[in-house]
Amino acid sequence: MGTAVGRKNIIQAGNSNDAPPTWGAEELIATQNSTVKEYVKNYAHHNYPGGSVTSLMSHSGISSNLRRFDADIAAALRTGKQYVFGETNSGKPGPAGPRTTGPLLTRSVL
Amino acid sequence: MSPTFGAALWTMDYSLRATYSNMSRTYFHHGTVGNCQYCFWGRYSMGAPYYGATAAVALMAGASHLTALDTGRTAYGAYAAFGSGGAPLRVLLYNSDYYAGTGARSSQSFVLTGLNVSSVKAKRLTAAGAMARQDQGGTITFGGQIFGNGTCVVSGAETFETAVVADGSVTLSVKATEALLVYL
Repeated sequence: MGTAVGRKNIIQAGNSNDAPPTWGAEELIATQNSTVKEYVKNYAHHNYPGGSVTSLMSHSGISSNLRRFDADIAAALRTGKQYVFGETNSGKPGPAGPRTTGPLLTRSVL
Repeated sequence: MSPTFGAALWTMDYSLRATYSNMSRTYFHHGTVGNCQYCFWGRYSMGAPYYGATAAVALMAGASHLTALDTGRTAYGAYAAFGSGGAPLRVLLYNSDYYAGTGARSSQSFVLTGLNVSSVKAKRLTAAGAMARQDQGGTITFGGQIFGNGTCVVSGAETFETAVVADGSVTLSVKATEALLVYL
């Protein structure tokens, strides 16, 4: 497809059914061949921490939850590509979730 | 997760901590409007997470970078946003101690130092407790303002608190389950 459109850096690469380091940018970078990686624009992961309201809003809990992505983000940045949460929210999406409705895209201002 | 005020505070802190972690963008999943607990809004009512997202944006708006001022190992968070010239623009303070809405509400003092202004103003993100839900008749405010059910239109007078800076230092109190956006 990249050859057909004559452009590289067009794919958001992610695999989200397991958390880093099992699945994620670091694992994709290590296993994909160099031709494929030319077409990667950025890397993405999903995250739904869930839990109770008490645990969800905990500042130390939020920080701890996000530290799980530190190494994966660093791996993407080392290749000169951005890392994004391609899909995230507080609880697990229901059966009518991501497969049937488009995510509302909320871009951080930075 | 139900659209509680606690979930709103998660939305705020999570967005900021992710940005601090070098996450370039955070795309919040939204399901079917009207049948989506964690959506920022429903068909006829506001979802509390919208308030948290608004507070996070209010910290970052127009900034070129931000940093966390804390280690992330306690219940208390602080972030600073900086302009392109490197000057700090705003600080957001977060007390994540859980307040259910009844009994005494504890508070945490935050001290900002090295300021060269005589006072600072601030907007508070607050509600009666972590389980407050606008879609169930509860009131959540950011700087005294609310967002309208079914419209997201802001209403009410934007209200700033003022705190005096003495010898370059200011002490700000943030109650349990509350956040404060400080304009430097």
